[in-house]
Amino acid sequence: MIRLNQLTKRFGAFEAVRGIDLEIPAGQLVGLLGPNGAGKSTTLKMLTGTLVPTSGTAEIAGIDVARDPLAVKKLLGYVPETGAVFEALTGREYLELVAALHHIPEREVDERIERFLTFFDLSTAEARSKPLSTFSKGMRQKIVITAALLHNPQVVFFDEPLNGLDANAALLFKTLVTSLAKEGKTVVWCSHILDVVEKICERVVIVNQGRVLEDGTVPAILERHHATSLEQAFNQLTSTENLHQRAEDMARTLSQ
Amino acid sequence: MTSAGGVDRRQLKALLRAYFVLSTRSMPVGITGAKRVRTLPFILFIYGLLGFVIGAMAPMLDSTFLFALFVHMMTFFVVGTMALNEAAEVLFNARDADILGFRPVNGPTLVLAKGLTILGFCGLMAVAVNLGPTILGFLCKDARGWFAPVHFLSVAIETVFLCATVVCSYGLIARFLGPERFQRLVTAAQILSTLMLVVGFQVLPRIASKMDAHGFLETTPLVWALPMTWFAAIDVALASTSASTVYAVGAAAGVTATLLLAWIGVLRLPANAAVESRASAAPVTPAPARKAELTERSSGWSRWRLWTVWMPDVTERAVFRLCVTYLLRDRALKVRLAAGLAYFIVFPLLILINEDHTGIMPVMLVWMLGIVPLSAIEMMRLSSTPEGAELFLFAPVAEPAALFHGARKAALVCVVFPLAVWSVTIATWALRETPEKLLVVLPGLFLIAPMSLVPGLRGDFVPFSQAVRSGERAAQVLAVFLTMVPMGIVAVGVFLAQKFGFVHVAIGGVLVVAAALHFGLSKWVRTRSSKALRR
Repeated sequence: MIRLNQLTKRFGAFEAVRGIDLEIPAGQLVGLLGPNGAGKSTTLKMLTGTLVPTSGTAEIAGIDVARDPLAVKKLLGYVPETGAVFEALTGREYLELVAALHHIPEREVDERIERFLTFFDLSTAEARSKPLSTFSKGMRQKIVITAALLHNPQVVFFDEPLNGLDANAALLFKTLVTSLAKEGKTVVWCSHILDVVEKICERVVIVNQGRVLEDGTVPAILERHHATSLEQAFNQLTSTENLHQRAEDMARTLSQ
Repeated sequence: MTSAGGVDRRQLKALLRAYFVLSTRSMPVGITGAKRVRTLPFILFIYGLLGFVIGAMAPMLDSTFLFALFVHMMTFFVVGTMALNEAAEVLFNARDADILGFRPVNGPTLVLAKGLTILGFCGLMAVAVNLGPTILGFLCKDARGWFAPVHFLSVAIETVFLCATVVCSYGLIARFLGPERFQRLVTAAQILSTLMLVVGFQVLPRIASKMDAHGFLETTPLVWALPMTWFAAIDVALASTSASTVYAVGAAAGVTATLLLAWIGVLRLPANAAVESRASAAPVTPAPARKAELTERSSGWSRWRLWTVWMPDVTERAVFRLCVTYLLRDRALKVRLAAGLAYFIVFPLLILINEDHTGIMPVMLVWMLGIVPLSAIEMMRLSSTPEGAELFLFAPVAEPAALFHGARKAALVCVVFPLAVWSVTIATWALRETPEKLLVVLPGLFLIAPMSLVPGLRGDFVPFSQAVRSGERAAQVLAVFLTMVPMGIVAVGVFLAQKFGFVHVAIGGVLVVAAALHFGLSKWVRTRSSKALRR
């Protein structure tokens, strides 16, 4: 479903993504991990057609994203890390805009929006009358997630989707995502919350400095790195320092 | 669903509806909760009034062409500046790219939606400015009775031309230069275009007024190179007894250029939107040398002892540095400043053209400096990312007035001081034969400091805490013009004092008043600000 071939992105002299090769079949739920500045968001932007690769290709459902971004965008849903929305619109108005952009048949729009609002325990009246600027962070994130799934995409990219969600909403959402994968949708989950990724993703890809460092199932990665948790393996792969020692030193300095 | 040109009608309708709601819904914008666009009806009213004043000139002119040319020049300036500012906000909104960049919207649809949004707002301004000339234009001696609908049509075409030109130019820049160089070039292009518009609006009518109305086109054929001439030609070709083939050709040129630009801008540059979203999304990494230079320059500020004497408060120094950095690097702020301060380029040109022997214009040039800090400080309230200013709400700011004073001093150092040197140099040169008139300049300089305190009296001053909205710029221009009135009265007083031989007393008086004003206003600002961040 998703195929990256020597995908590279340069910004001037800085190489954010360095020749990534990756293949994700349909129906797989993949965790994309990496420290800050590793190239995760840049990779996602190239996959969603908002950035053009410097070289290499990214394909979704056999379509080259750079050649036909429009065709690819019709197939995908994306929850960006920024959670940006048009804040002056009400939740309902925003979702209606998204529905129109994705050509959801007009007779189905109301029903689909209602279904998601109910699922996320969002009040219909509130979504209809209040601008998004007055929504709490969690409520707004529910609208952003709804906007990503409203058109029933085949491929979904989540960049820190749990931002602002309360524990119940997060649980509900994680269950939804695993169910979506079982239904045959391809899901890429980008996050720094490794516990969640460890629990729900069947495959994990770890990138650093624009390169893939590790790719496999969680048990396989733990075994390869003799680690007891994904966090430990991640630390071994992406950090050269003893983080515990560094944190303790910092706390001591602050106390002085 | 999609037309032959690639514009998706359903998406276009949805986007237009969304942009309309976004640009009209009243909501707090920015962290200090400024209310949006409530000033719009007032601005439209003032511009409408200005239009009627210009329209009243119609019976005095015996050439419809000159009348139409003057009106179209004014429209060109007002609507052109508006289109440039609106385009910067609407076309290149980084947040917009975050929301729409990954949606299946093609370039032509997005560009057309954005272009029509800009056109809508510019159209409002164009109608306001032209209401008077449209109604009164038939009073020109060679105008026909149906001047009104014809002028309305020519203004509509001119507005489309201006918006299409802006959209097209940005599209070309983005397409051919790539995202990294795009932002810098757009800044330069915007500043340059704004300056050209202001200069054109001020200087061209003065050149035109020196020419014979009837022999105007014969003596200055180059005037046909100016787009406003084409639109004035539409008025003459269709609604004047002086209509001739020349005007018909000019009118045809205007219509053709408009259609061509609209076609290129929307349909032939379909990469516009995509390039735009990429430009916004791509992190522009500064080259290592530039980065080092910026770091060195920034740390240099804090090491210089003089700053700590002038700005003992650490918050004030921090805000000063923040504002200086914005003044040097922020594209939107630089463009707004260029538009607001273009008069300092225009005035010296007018001094050269008018061969002013009274000495009034060079003196006015220096006196106008008093409004510069007002304009610059007001601009430093605005930002495209006002959430960033929340920093000031959470920081333990002991003296909230420091937020204002830091911005004020940045405006004084980076904007007022260079302009003061420029203006005084021009004035000194212009008054070289009557150097005694330079004395009248002094009170204007004394008033700069107290005038710079005035913005601190309006609302809660938190730098870069308000979102930029449609009409904001026009409102500022009006506020600045209104402030010029008392300044002008004082200037005239000092002028008269010199004429009657007691200029030294007048200068002393202004100095005392300036000092008292400075003291009083500083105290007022401090009292007001102490409440501001605690609400």
